[in-house]
Amino acid sequence: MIRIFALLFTAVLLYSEETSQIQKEIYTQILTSLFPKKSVIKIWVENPRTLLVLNSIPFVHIVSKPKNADVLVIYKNSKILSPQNCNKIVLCESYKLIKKEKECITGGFFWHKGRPNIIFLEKNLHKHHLHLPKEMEQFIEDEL
Amino acid sequence: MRYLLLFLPLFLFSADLTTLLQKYKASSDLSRLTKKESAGIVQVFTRQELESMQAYTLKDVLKLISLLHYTIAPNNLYLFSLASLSYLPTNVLRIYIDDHDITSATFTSALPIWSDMPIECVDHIEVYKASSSIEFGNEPALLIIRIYTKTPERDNGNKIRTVFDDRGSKGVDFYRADTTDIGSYFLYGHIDVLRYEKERRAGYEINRDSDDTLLFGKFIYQNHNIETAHYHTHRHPFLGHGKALIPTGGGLGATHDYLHYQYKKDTSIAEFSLDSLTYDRSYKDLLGVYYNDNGRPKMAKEEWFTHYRDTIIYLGMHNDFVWNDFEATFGIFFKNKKSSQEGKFDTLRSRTSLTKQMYSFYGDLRQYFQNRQTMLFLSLKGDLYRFNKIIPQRKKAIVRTGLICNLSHTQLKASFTRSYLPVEMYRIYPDSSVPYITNPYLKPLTYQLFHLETIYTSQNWKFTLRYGYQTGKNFIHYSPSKGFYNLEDPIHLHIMESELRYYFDPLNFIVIDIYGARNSHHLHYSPDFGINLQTFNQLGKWNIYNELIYKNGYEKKKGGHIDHSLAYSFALKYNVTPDFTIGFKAQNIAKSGFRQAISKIDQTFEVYDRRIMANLEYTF
Repeated sequence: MIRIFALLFTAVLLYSEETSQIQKEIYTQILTSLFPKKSVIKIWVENPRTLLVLNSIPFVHIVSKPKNADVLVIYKNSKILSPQNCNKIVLCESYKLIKKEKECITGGFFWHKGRPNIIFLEKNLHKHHLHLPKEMEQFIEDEL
Repeated sequence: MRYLLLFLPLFLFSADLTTLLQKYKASSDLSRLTKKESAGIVQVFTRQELESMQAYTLKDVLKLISLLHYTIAPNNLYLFSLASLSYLPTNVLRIYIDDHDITSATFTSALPIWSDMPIECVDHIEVYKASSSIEFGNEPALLIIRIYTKTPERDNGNKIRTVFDDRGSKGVDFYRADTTDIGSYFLYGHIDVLRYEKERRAGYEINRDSDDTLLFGKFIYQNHNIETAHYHTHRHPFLGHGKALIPTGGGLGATHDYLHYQYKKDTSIAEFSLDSLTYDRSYKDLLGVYYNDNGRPKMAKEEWFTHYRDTIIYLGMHNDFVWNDFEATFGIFFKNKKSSQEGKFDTLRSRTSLTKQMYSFYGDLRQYFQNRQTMLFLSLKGDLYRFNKIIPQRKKAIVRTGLICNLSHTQLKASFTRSYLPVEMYRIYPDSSVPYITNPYLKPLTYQLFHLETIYTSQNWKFTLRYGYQTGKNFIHYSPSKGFYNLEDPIHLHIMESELRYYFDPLNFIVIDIYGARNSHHLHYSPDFGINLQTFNQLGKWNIYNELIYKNGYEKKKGGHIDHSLAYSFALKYNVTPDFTIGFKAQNIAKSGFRQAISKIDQTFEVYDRRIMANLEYTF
């Protein structure tokens, strides 16, 4: 518990309020595009810094176990991607990871080439019967 | 008026995801800053700013430091002069690339080699004025420039950048960054040829062209961090150093190689580094170049050549401690510097070397009050210098104390510093006094600084007002008959500075710096008042940057007037795709920028010439 508090405290110190606010807006748009009809989205998050951001979105409910989540947001740990968890919608925060686990990961919001990127993999969107609005189509990729 | 129209801010308020990503990047650039508020007067150039400015070399950034003029010296080095004063001694400044100090041993400065380094590998730059360096655990300096390179985590991928301009300059940058299961790395390479406007003096062409090569690598494995670099620069002589200041050849060829290893664990850092530098300087002049031969002034008609070689070994460690509202940092380091010199002056040959060892310990104590809204700090440092020749051992101490107080929207900062600048090695040896009359008994320049600052921040803007009072003594001068000697009279300096930043949003903002200085001797060797104005705008796929640098005119001590200057520069970048950008930059469009007066001759030279640059960047 002390470690979690320490992580959260460090995350708050390191991250400016403004940056978190913009990150929150970006995640809000991603989640509402994926689930336009859901009033509550259950999310499991690996990265404590992202957890803080997602927790501040009103329609997001943070869960402590991946099996209870609609969406998994993973950061580094590919071990989470068991066959069972791959049946869920997985978003990732690492370019390396999305490239490595492209069969399982639906999309990602990560730093690559010196800038933040958003990517959705078309094949995995189809797998989950997800249809993104027109303004989000520019972020859909066939391959990585 | 024509400038005002161009400076009209361009608004963009859109919440589409692409714009949000751009804003997120701009905001993240700010949150990555590593600045230490207590270390001095801080001026930061963020990555977003550097990219919008299309900054290509360090010179493009350092010219915007308020209160200082980054200007050309007669031998084609870039040096700083403080408002109203002449060139500052080279030992006033230390430059760090990440945590590595790139200062040479012989000249106690990084500027003879790194003054115009390429900066495509740079993430952001922090400039600390009125500093003492204790906070960074290295040797003392009044001005500290910390250059932070890009990180493999954020910049994973490849990038190539090519630049060329209407003067015939061209350059290529390439980097690759990646994170693997084992660790991460960042590799960077740069090569350029920089051409400048050819000026004439007494019918002869004056050349200040240069070319540079930089290779840089950063490797991170768990708690281990290794950085290495190879930088080579070649410069034409500009005016040189001769009697006529009309060079008929010569120039500078200099190389710096270093390896820096750092081990971080919890709050402790241990470091080791090794530097090797060579510096070959030759002067040829129409009427010859003076040199000193054991107290006798002579003139080299055919050859004036010096070769310096530095070897620096650094070992250091520091640890941070936290007890509730009290924090402390304690550190120690050791440096071994060897400077060797060889000279050829027509028929005379010289060869000598000097080793300096430095032992240092320091402590930085910080006590917080009122729910951490107020911080009192006290920094102490003790340095011991020992030489292998008959040069007196020196012990010096540095004290720095101050207060930072946060009151709602206002921050108050006050500090007092008593410090010194170590004497450059080339001024105290060789014993034979060739080619300069050296003085092993030179005292280090000592200075006291008092600085008061208030910063008001609201949602969209930040206004800073600063006052500083500085007194320095033991300034070092050179005369052909006496050699290097300490000036008895102290110099007092009052400075005033204000900075306004207004953010329309994270992508669109204006920065205005206004500064002025007055010295106790009423000397006018450079402009004592100036304004720097920058606007940063983003309109869809376009990045627009405007820059206006004003410096006032002044009367020279020996008579004559230097006119005020107003340099306007403009940069435009079009992001064809997120991976490919095309940029254009026009520098000093009206050709009315700052001109440097040269004391021995009645002629001024434009420091930043008019040029139009094209810039292509591709990431993949």
